[in-house]
Formats: sequence, C-alpha cells, structure tokens
Amino acid sequence: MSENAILEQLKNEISGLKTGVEIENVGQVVKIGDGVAEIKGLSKVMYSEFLEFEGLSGVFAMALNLEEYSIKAIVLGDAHLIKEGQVVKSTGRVLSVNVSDKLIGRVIDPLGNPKDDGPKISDENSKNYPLEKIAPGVITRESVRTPLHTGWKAIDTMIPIGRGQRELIIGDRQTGKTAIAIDTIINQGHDPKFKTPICIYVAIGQKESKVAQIVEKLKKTGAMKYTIVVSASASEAASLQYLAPYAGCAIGEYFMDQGLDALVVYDDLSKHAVAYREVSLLLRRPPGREAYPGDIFYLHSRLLERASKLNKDNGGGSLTALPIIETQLGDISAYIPTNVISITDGQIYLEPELFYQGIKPAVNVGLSVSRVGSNAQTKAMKKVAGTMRLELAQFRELAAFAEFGQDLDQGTKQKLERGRRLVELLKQDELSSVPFEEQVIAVWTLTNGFADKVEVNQIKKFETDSIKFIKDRKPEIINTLRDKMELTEELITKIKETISDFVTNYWNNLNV
Amino acid sequence: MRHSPINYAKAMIELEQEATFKDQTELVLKFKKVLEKNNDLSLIKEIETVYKNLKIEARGKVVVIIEYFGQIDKEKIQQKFDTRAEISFIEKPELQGGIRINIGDLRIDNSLKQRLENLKKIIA
Repeated sequence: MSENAILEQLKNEISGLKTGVEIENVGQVVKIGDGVAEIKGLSKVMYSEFLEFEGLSGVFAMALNLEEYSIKAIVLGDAHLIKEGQVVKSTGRVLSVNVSDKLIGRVIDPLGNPKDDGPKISDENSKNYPLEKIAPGVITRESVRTPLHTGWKAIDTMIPIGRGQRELIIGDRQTGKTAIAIDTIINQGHDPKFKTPICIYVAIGQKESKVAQIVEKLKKTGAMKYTIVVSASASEAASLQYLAPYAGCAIGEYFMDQGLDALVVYDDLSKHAVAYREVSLLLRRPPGREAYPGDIFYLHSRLLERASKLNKDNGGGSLTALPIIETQLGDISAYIPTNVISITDGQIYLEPELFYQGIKPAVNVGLSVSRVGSNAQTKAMKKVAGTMRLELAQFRELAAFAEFGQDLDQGTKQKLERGRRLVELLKQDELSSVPFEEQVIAVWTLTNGFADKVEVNQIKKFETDSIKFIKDRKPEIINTLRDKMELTEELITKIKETISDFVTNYWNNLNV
Repeated sequence: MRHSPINYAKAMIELEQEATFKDQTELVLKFKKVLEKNNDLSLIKEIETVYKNLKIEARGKVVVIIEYFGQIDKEKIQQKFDTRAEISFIEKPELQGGIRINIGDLRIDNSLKQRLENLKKIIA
C-alpha cells in the first residue's frame, strides 16, 4: 500500500469516527487476589460477560459469580496490574472468540490472540463466536454415518469413529493418547475420498515444550495447513485453561456452520477439570466430591454436546470431538473418567500393560467401544472387520487359558495362531497411518488365512510387501476400493488371485 | 464476611430511626464492637460509603459526582439536573478535558480521554 493510500485511509477513518458521549455501566475492584476480582457496581452485568479494566490494555475479566451486592470475575491476563479501586467497565458482550479462515495454520490462545511468531490475525470477514453456546437441537441433527479415518488399523477396524461423534481417548500417562489424536489429525490430509476436516488441537495445561513439539510435528507432516492449535499451557492462569476447550469448540462451530467438517481434540479434560476446580474454589463455590464443584458434569457435558452432525437443511457440517482423559493407575471408575465416559459416544481405552508389551497402539479391545458402531464404517471395512473384534476377544480368552499348558485341539491352536498374527498386524508405530483401502486388504488377507504360514515376526513385512505387490501389479484394486469403498465379489476374486500370486511366486521364494 | 456492608449500613440507619440508643456515640461504639466480633472491621470504609449513600437516598436525593477538567460552568450544569441530585464536583486533570458524570454505577463520559482512547482502539 502506498504512503498516500495509507494516509487517505487514516483520514477517512478519523473523519468517520464517532466519538460522542459514552454511556457505560461501571464498577470498582474492591478485592483482588488469586486471579479473582471482586467488583462493586456493574449492576447490569450479564453472566459470562467480558469486562474491561480502565486504562489497562490486554487485561480482561469474565463475570462469573453474580451476587447480591457484588460480582466475582476471573481475570484473563496479568492480574498483578489490577489494583483495589480500579474501574471496570462492562462491554455488553459475552466472552467470544474472533474466528475466520485466517486462523488456520496458527497457534492461538483461548482469546484468539496469536501465540506463534506469525502476524496479527485480522480479517474483515471474521465473526465473533461465543465461547458458551447451546448445542444444536434434535431437529437440526442427523445420524453419524460418515467415517473419520484415523489411520490406525486397530481403531478404524474395531472402534470406528464417525464425523460428528464424540470418542473419548482414555488411559494412564505415557500410553500414547496424544499420539493417537495427533496421528488422526495428520491422517486427515491423506484421505482423498473424504473432505479434509479442519482440525483444532486444544492443549490444556500442557508444557509449552510439548505443545511446541506437537506444532513442529504437524508442520513437518503438512498437517498445519488445515489445523489450528489453541493453547493454554500450564504456566497460564487456570481461567484461561478453563476457557481453552470452549474456544476450540467455538472455532470448530464456525467451520461446521459453513457446511465443513471439523475435528477438535481436547488434550486433556482431566487438566481442564482441575483448572475449573481451582477457579471454582477461588470463587468460593461450594466444593463437592474430590473438591470438584457441583457443576463439573455440566462443564463437560455442555462442551461435548456441541459436537454434532448437522443435517442438509442446516448446511450438513459436522464437529467431531476427541476428548482425552488421563487416568491414575488405570482407574477408569474415578469421578472425572466416569463422567466423560457417560457423556461420549464411546471410548478408546489404552492399557499400560499392553503398551509395555510393545503393543502400540495399546488399545484394550474389551474396554473400548464406539457406540456409533459400524454405521460410521465403509461397506468394505464393515465386511472385513465385522468379526475381528470377536476373534480378538476369543484369542485373548484362549491365550489366557493356554498359559496353563493343556493339550489343545487343532481348532483352538489355529485360533491362537491367527490371533497372534492379528495382534501383530494391528501393531502400528507413530506417524505410520495406513489408508483405509490398504487396511481392508491387509485385514482381508489375514482373516482369510493367507498369512497363517507366515512367522509372527514377519507379519509386518508380509503386510508391507503384499500391499506393495498389489500397488505395483494390480493398482486398479486399490483405486476401485478407494473410489467405491465396497468389497464386491468381483473385487474379492481379484484380491484373492493377486494375494495367492504374491504368496506363491514372491513370498515363498523370498523365504526359501 | 459475616454480613454485607449494605446490611450493616441498613441496620445502623434503622437503629438510628428507632432511637434505641440515647446518643449517636453509644450506637457507634456498639456497632464497632459488633464488627470486631464478626471479624468484619475491614469493611468499615465500605460501610461508611454505603451508609452515606443510603442517607442521601433516604432524603429522596441521588448522588451525582461530576469529574471535569478545564473551564466549566458549574451553576449551569447544576440547573440541568433535577433538584433531587446531590451534586459534587471533582477536578481530574487525567481527563484532559470535558466532563464525566457518575450516578451510581452509571457513567456518562464526555471526556477527551475517552475520545482519545476510542481513537487509539480503532487505529491499533
């Protein structure tokens, strides 16, 4: 922009400026401490209203306790700058976040301010989305039936996630919860058949270094092109940590309202509950079980209920939520885990024992479930993976039984061998997401006995080589499966022929 | 805080009206002792402000504080208000110019400071 144009714009702005008399509702800080301000006055203030401190830029507050003679507000920003007697002004707007497409690829705080080294986020077409909003009603919704492929074989085959679903990822520390969520975000860019959802990763009470690592990973894999990171790290006030998931959800709703798909990861809601407990205790709200306030269930239910799949009349967008909960010593029956389990449409339970055995992802198939079920699976996946869950469960039972060393009949032995191979097939490292069509072929190959003679430790190689073989010799199989997402008899015959060819002419020769 | 400042102030006014005590000193001393007992002595300043405001309100008056900087015609301003308004003028150089009227928690701001701040917000 030239100097003249800038001057012209500035002159227009100044001459068009309305600087008349301002009528305000004001109050005065009478007490300040621990990030909570007690304010007298402000008789017209609304619940959850955004408050400004006169003469202090960058410090705001949110009105939470509206009492008879005063209000209590949580300070967002540096509370040390506020002094007793400080004038507070009401703004007439509830706490909201400024959302636009320009947020994509950025790291922001819960108020929408950039936290990365990028430029200031400004967009003329941006919209203010309230952090707290009533979830879409029954009339505006439709059932969840479009898959959201995670790229993890164990999840896409047995615990399918649909667009608009709320699937909890639960487990102890260091069991790979974040890895599952991050790889799911990364995999969204490699699912050409479906629209890439806008992904929002909400980091609550995490170490700044961990958030930096995640952002780096997302940048390296190209996932930042469709991802927004909302971060309220451990060093920030509990009030900001409390607001972070609501900000992430509001951003997701902006994209959902445009008819797009959005995926939001809340990492994690245990820390969110702790932050809310801190805020509530400072606000002198009565403590309940484990000192959490009485509305701790509502805190999470009103957040997760906002995940939905809208019907065509309402744009057809969706908001999928992947909340994460950290358990202590595998106790999923604790207060917050049971709350969130009961709210969500299923859970992926990660078990430390499986993790230490080298089974990654350490998904406990028995305790994991997706209540949306096979509705959110492609026909092809449904066909091959339908019995997998049962087979795996039977294998676990038999494996426990076989440890006693009894003589086993041929059928049981075969089931055990097949189970071992299945477990091996489902093992997957970080950043190695598998497209759904390759998952279908791999599972079909194994469940149809083509890998029965392959050594367990060779299963991974068998899988990679067989897929490569198909890609080289019969790429149309992969293409048809990707396009039609169905496993027709004709396609099955083709896969059968190609895999037989692979086993006889390639694999057997390779392993002579 | 056992009781809110407004309740303390209201109780004080009602006791005055009922004339329970012979003189004001006795009432004030007893009131101070109650505050001590309730651990609410820190509220005394706030109670005083509320008490004064309630007294003005009881007389059917409204407290109006006018902050200003620069030349203003106080008489002319006073005429603009209802007779119920109990007006006090405070000179505030930080306003840089103009006046600001405070009635309870309602503020009518026509100061230069406010205008400049609004301009700053738009330009930033």
